[in-house]
Amino acid sequence: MEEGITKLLLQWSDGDRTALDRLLPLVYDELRRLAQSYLRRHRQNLSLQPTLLVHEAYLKLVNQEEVNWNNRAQFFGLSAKIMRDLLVDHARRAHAAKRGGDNYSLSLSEADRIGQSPNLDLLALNEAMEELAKFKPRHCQIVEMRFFGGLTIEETAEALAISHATVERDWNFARTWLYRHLKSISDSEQN
Amino acid sequence: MTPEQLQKLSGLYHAALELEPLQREAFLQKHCLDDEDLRRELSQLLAANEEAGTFLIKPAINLNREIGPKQPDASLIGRTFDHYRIVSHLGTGGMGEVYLAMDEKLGRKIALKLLPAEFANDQERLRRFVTEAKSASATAHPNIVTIHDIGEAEGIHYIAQEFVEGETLRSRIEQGPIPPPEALNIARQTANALAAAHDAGIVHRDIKPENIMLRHDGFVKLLDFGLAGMNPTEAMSGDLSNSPTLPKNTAPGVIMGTVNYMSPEQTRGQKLDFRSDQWSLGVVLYEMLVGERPFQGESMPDIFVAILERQPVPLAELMDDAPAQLQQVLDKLLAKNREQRYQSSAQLADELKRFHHRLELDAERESGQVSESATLFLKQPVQAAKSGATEPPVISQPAHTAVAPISSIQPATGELAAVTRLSRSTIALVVFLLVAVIAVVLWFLIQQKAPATVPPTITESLPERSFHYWLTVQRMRDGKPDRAEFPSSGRDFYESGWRFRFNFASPQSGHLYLINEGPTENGVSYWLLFPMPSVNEASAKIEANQTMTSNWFQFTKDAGDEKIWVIWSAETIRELEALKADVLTPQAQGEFRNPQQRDTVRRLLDSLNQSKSEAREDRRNMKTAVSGRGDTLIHLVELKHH
Repeated sequence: MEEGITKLLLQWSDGDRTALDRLLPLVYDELRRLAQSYLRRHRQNLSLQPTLLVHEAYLKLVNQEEVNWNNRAQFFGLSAKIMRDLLVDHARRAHAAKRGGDNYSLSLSEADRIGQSPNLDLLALNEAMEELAKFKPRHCQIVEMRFFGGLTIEETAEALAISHATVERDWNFARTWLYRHLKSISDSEQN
Repeated sequence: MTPEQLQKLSGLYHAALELEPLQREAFLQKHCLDDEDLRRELSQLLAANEEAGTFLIKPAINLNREIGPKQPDASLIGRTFDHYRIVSHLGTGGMGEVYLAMDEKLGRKIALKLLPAEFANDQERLRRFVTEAKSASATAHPNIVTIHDIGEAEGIHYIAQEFVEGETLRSRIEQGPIPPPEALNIARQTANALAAAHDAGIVHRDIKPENIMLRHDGFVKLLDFGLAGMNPTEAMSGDLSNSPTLPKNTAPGVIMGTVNYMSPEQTRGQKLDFRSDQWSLGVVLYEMLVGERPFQGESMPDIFVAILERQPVPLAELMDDAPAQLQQVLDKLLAKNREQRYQSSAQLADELKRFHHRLELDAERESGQVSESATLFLKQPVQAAKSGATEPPVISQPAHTAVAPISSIQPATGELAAVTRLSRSTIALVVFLLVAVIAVVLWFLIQQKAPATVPPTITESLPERSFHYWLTVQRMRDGKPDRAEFPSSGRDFYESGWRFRFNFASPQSGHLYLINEGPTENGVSYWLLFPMPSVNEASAKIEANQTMTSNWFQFTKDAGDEKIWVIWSAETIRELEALKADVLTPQAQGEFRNPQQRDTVRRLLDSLNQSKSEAREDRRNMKTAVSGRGDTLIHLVELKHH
């Protein structure tokens, strides 16, 4: 249990932006460790919800006696952002390592592939999310929390202080928009 | 597209989605009059909505798994580490790749395990590993794989060990269930190895079929002592972790490889001892006999639930002629409480030996039918103690309602089976999964039974009532309180098996009624939670500023929303007072059992619920304040649990 982290989280919640700068690397380290440990465990059939990573980090880092519901939501939001960084970075390195290979090629000729394929191009997705964020920043955050952080609709709603219905609506739009965006890129590359 | 177009896009998209597909074209025409770009974009998005299917539904981390560890490095073939020349790749072991190598000095084959580079980062763990591995090896037990050498060359740590020609028990099990005499023989030899190690004070911590080698001549060799202790849960991030060991205080979220073999104490992250190995051996024995693991689940928490809560399907249901004694041995090995397992592994080894001999004798006596008795067939596909959302959990409680007063549950411990009472660490993982929805709050004008559109002049003239409430929650594990109680606003996500008290206070005096509404197979049921005979002398009367603390109530097995109606009234509620005597009996335990009673309660709640009140949650203090005008306030608390 990191008392310091709990304190920083509270300070951040109280509006101290500098607390975030100090908080981020601490949470980042823990999540990276958990995520790496998970990613390396490749031969198992079981799948882990990333939300467990976030929860695990939360439990390890934050003294729950001292924080409230709202702090937790903020922590989850923060963690989702970090998970995005971690996973995109991971993909980037793997991509660099396998340059020339087709592991990250993205073809959307079959609708299911993009959803099911282990080869979803996180780098392309990340860029598409940046595009999305330009006009719908909150939608982008929702994708971050749902897809990268593995947060539930409820947790996402809390973290963003919006209603469930709004999360579901925005999540629908964001998924569809990103899907179409990636597909059009993929189509134009193929032609 | 321009920013303006993009902004318009989502609104139109959602509006169009509401429409029947056939109406959408007209909608697009109408709203994108002269904006062809917008129209095209929108129509493509609407088409993509269907097509997107499960896009992004599966969380990112699970998409990337193939880029985890490195493949065995073919370039190592032919290379020499110290005097070990690598011949071929044997497989991927618990911790690193295993190669067949030639010991150039002694001219013999050995198995060379190369540990990942990260291994070297943690000297303390490395040292502990070397110590354990060496001492296990030093027992020189014939059923323990001999470690010849541990060293480092070119920055790579390696283990040179006895090369066992044969197959792993895993691959043997994959060929089908193993006949009891043979399974017992394997278990017996493994127990021998454990007895030797345990005598030397070494716990294996990672007994599983992958670590048990079957030599062609029938000899069993136990692998990888000490490796389990190397599990990198703290400072390391290497690929060292196919073992399930959970050091204390480490949440198990990412330790998943072999959770099926974990003992209950292991899932809780408690300190392990030789009896934990016994449990794992029990799981292995069961799996050998029926071909399936005794504790299964769709996900790690599900498996943990099975391990902690479920009894494996008895052998007799899965095999013909399952020897009764075999079941007894398994029951003892798989005792949830380790005190009930064998108190020494030598004792276990002895029992298995005697039993194995007897089976062999029996087989001989029935000679001629030996092959028959040795081949026991599975009666049916295994429905092991599998845990998952689709299967009703094993439960010892009446299924009437999801909240039960403690007094109705006898005895208070042991029987409190709950679906998802997990280990502390697992609870920790799941507790925060969801947060409750805030209740609808209305306030009521008891005199007028007025519609919602009461003129403000009337409502404002009514007296204001208010109260606040909070819960005291006690986590439970194994029927016992787990850690301190905590205050909760009611918006946490609770576990079945946990207990809570309802705390209530108001600046006014009045009458309090708490009614639990719970779904059952036969429809809705109602329970009076307050007043109760054991609290406040069965009176609903609460003085101003008096804090009322209810009995403990327990979340039972039914997951979902638990509705608790709080009725706070200046006067007694006639209907409820009339029914009180009937429901507050030892038999009824507060339940409104007959249909007429239920109708009365339903009608009462419906009528009270016409009114309006306001709830404000004070998250810092975990309290919820409810206020409104009128003589009676009604407020619905919805507690989520699973």
